[in-house]
Amino acid sequence: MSSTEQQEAAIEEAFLLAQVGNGDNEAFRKIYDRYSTPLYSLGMRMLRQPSEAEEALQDTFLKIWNNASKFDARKSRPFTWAVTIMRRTCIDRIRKLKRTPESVTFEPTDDQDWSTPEKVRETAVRHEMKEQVQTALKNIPDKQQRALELALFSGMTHSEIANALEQPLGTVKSWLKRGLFQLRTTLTKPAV
Amino acid sequence: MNTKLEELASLYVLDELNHQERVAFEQQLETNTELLILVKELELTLEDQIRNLPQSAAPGRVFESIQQKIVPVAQGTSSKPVITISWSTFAGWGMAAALLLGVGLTLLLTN
Repeated sequence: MSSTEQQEAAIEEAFLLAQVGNGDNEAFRKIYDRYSTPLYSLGMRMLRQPSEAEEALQDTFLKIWNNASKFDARKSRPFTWAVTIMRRTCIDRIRKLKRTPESVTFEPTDDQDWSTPEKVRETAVRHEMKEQVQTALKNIPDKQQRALELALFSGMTHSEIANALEQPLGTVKSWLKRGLFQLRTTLTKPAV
Repeated sequence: MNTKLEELASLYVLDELNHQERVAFEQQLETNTELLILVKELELTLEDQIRNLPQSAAPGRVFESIQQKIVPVAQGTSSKPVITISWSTFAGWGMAAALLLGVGLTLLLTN
């Protein structure tokens, strides 16, 4: 998806969230259709158990339903807002389970769907994006990549990440910033 | 933009600021267009990471279960306050998108 298409989708989703805030169940269904798969996949990565991921997803969408009227498009993109709710929900569950976060890695995916022309197109676009992301990740130094993985998917706080990586907190914050900036540079630079 | 502000932007996108830091940062976002553009780009980067995970569809029963909990409320929509969305809400996005397009075109033309 191009950045223009992503921008259009974000504006549409912001309007859908405004409708959800008014109690529109149809708009809620549309948001669910767009977000449930990536959010559930995030839950699977963080919680590693389908039943836990299902419950986290359910809690997240109830929070979206109850808080959609508070969504502020000036502060964040709609999907980022939903991701933040899902991550916080997963982190709460990890802490309740008192589970020690395990090693997490970015893995290549195998989610091809060639059943219809639309699915073929979606699959092709998704794979193109994944290749770009994989290439971007290869360009990040290991330490920065590791810190970013832990920050995104493990549910660990910055202090816990600093302990796990045996580094000062300031160094970890700096690695996170540099890792995210490097990904952004690779993923957002215009194709020539 | 200074390094400290860039670090704050990263931590904001990663949801690692405490409430006080978040509120202060969001105040800066309202007046600093360059910072707003940076945050939107970092959010897109984060979204790409999430969408790059192995994707699994949630079981159908999850939506049914959610519906059972919200449908009584959804049917009585008057119980939720009616809100309106202002075009000014998107002014920042519009500005950010226009600047991004401008930068992209400039880079394309110079290459």
